[in-house]
Amino acid sequence: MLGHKQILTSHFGVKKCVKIRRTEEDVRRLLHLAKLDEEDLKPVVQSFYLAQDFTREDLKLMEVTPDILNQILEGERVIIRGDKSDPAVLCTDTQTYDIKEAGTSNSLLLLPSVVWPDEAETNDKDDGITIASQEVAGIFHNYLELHLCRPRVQKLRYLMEENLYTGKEYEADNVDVKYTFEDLLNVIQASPKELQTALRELQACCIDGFWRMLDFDYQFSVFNHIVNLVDSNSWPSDGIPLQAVLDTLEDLIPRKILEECFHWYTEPVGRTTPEGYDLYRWNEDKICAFLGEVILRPTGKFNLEEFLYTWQSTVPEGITTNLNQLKVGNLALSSTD
Amino acid sequence: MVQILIRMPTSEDSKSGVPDWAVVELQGDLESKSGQEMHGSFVGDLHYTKKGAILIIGHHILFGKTVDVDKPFIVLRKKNSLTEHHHEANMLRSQKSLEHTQEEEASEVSVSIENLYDKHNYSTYYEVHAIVRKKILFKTRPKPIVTNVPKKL
Repeated sequence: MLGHKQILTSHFGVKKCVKIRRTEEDVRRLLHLAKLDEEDLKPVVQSFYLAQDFTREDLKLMEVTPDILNQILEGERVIIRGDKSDPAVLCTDTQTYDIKEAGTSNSLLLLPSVVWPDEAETNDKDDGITIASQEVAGIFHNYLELHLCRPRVQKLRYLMEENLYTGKEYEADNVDVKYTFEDLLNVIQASPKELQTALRELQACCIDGFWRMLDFDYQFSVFNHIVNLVDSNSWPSDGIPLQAVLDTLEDLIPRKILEECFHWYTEPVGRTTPEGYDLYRWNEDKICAFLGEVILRPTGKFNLEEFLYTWQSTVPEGITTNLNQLKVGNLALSSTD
Repeated sequence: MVQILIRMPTSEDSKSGVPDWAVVELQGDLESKSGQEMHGSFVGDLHYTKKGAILIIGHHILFGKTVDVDKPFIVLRKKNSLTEHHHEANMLRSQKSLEHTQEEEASEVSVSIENLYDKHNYSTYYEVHAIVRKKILFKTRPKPIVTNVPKKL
């Protein structure tokens, strides 16, 4: 049960000398005017005063979800990102929220300390009233509200295209702008997890600490190296050993890129080599879509019949092309003109 | 782009946690009758009954209750760490030669990119000053206190 002293204790736990400016008589007179019976009321009365510095402009109210609150309490990174052209968002480790200013015609009085109903019964049954002075730190008519939103990652492709990776032999002279993951978080309004997903969708690789998209021709050449290696070793198309691909080609292509690229066009079959290395098969749809783009990219337009013929003859043996594979990624349209 | 970290107080004695504050929500706005200075002035008396809460403000009575909010509020306080940081850096610089100063500036920029989440490189951050999990809500319109007693308040 809360005693007299604790009621007057400020939230900092330091006893504060709050001068009780209202007397029991003042309170009782007001109760009488309001036609309230003291018998119906709990003995603790709280008198609100505006704080001396009550227009606390350095304070802001933000409505959060219990989940976000826990993340903040646990010390996870919760960050507001934005500038003049991008409205601010709040990012947790995994999600992005629009920050909106919510207005209300109600007044929100912010009080550092309040006695709650279950604390408002005093022990001393002397029929008296205990008056606790409470300070109103601020009155708010608006607060910040969060709305879960999609990350704003449109800018990412543009940033990645500023400096495409064309092979390690060109890297020594490459002085163009490159971005680390942290650099990207600094300019993209997304949570780290969402940024990671967006980079994966763009097929960007982390090369020497910088995130890069591969130049299309370079990507094609990496792909060809892998396909040719599979061919020349006569590996079955559903038993391609990743480890051997990496070990054989790493002198030509950085291992990291090989590995990324390999995963774009294959899927695990669930079996391993006798040495315990995973085996993979071609992901037909992804290979067909990629090679379709390789053919269409330089011309932009192709006679359908010729295209279908060329396309089928380009893909590795045992794989069948069909037009739906191009529609998935909105890569191509066919028209009858 | 500006990045503003929201974080817990850093002081060592904050282990006791961020304090819980309260919100009292009511209809309308508070105005001082005579337009006098409001700082430090008396607002009203809050009483609890068995069922709820009663707030008397001026000649109005409000009936409400305490509620746990679905979505908590955090009370944020804007803080500036870079000013202190710069200040220190400037102090250092004044003891060094000009070339050193320039070098130091350059290194500072690169550090701020690499250690983006190093607290010292945020110019501004919000500290969680308090958390509001409960409020006393006076949903209904304030009722005037009808009285024929001359005003003594």
